[in-house]
Amino acid sequence: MERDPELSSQSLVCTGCGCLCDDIEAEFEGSCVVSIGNACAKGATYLRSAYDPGRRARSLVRGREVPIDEAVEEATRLLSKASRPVVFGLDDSTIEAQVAGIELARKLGAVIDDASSFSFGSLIEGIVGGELPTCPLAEVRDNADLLVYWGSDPPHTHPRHISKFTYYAYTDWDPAGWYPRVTLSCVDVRETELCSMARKNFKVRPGSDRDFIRAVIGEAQDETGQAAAFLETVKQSKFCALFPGAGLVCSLGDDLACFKQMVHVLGQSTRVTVVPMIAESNMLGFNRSLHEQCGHVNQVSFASGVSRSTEYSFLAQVRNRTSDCVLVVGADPFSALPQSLLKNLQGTAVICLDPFVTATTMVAEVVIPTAVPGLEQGGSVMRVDGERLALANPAEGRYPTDVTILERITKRIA
Amino acid sequence: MSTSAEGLSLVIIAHEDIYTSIARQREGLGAAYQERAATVVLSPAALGQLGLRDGDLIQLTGAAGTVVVKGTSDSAVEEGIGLMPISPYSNFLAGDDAVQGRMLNLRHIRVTARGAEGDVTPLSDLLVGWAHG
Repeated sequence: MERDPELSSQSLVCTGCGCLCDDIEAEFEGSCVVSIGNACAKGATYLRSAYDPGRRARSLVRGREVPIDEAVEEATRLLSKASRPVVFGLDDSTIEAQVAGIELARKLGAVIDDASSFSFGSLIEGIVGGELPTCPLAEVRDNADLLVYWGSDPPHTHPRHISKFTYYAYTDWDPAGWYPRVTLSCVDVRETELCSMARKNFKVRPGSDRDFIRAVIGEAQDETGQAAAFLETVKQSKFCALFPGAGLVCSLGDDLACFKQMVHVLGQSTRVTVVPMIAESNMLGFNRSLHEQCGHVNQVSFASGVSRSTEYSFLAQVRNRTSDCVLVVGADPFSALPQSLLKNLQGTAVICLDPFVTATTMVAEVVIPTAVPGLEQGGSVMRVDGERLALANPAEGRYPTDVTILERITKRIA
Repeated sequence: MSTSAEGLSLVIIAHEDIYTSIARQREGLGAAYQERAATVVLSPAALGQLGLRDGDLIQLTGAAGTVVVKGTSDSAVEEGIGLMPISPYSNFLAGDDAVQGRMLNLRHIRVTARGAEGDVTPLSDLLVGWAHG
């Protein structure tokens, strides 16, 4: 078939989830995408919705559509007069935007935090601090003979994880009768879609992951025999890759001591690696960027030098009604957090930078639309396994980038 | 079978659901998203205890609020458990017990379930009092 000369092809990195699939083939007519290849349903929807005007955020001040310059001006005014500003989010932004956000927080003397402080933060801290072993996903593929998805259901959160990086990505995988030399396994509180594909499933009661872990390391009674079976499965493997998801980190809270101990114990009989199943596209990038600058992965205040405390977590700031102005960048706390907590934000000025209409853009006093990373905005991002990827920007110029907006606000702050 | 006046105690596990995510990304917080988000999946026995059938409405009352969603059953779901997609519906039920210390645990929300009549709680009711314009 003859190719339309008006079309151009471009390889993209999809920023729709933490997989950051780097093999997306898109065809463009001018700056408009006309076909998307290799993406999952979630990624394709994400990229296509960038071209739906109804889905894109509009520049608003208290619900009134205004030129972007006016919205930036109002955001600057609100942040300048705030005595206790908070910068929150940046987990779906590029590393360049994260650095710009940190710089703005520093200049404002603000608190800066991201969603990791109420999800994967402790796990990431363990990885960044070297307490938990990790490795590139490329090393897992073909080498790990036991894949354990714990409290994670990739068909729903990271649709291409098992086909691009693990189970189905093994070189000798054969759809017509391949005998797997890798064991796919799940630990979960419910029967997930992945459980039906896994060879070994370990069921835990809701909220009892800690008891299960304690039983695995011999510190608690193994009432069902599941912990012993899990331990035996790991011991029989040569290389066990653990993929902890939101289900596990939510169950354990911020005390990961038992999980770290379990990884240490398991590591005495086999090689163990930990790669978190983070949903956000660049949470690890934010945590590493902040760590490089401040020595902490999240919950930092620049009010007086650099300090870190749980009181600087976004949840604590909201619960205690500490902040008088919140700048949300590429995050949607109004969809993600309990309503009972969000009530505390009434009366607080919320400024939101986002490419799309979200529950947060619907309630924010100021909304500034931004470019979609990897489509309209270049830069770099860090995948969950620590690999840094460069983003293309074939549709650049349709919307301002969050880097530009954050830098403009920073310059205007006295 | 009639619905018990005290209702049925359940633990809601809110989880990522790709269909709900796609509906939100495609159409925003509209009807398609509400259709996906305003659901709870129970064990067949639990639905039976409530005197309900697949597709009937269920009122869920948590520490922080009450919502009415559509109930369905799945034999893979254990008794005492309800599965909901993470959304403003599940978030509306969660009280401070879902915020353990500095962590968020939307996978262990205690609720009481009862049969309900009328309509699913409109999504707009869960965001009421906030929107500008």
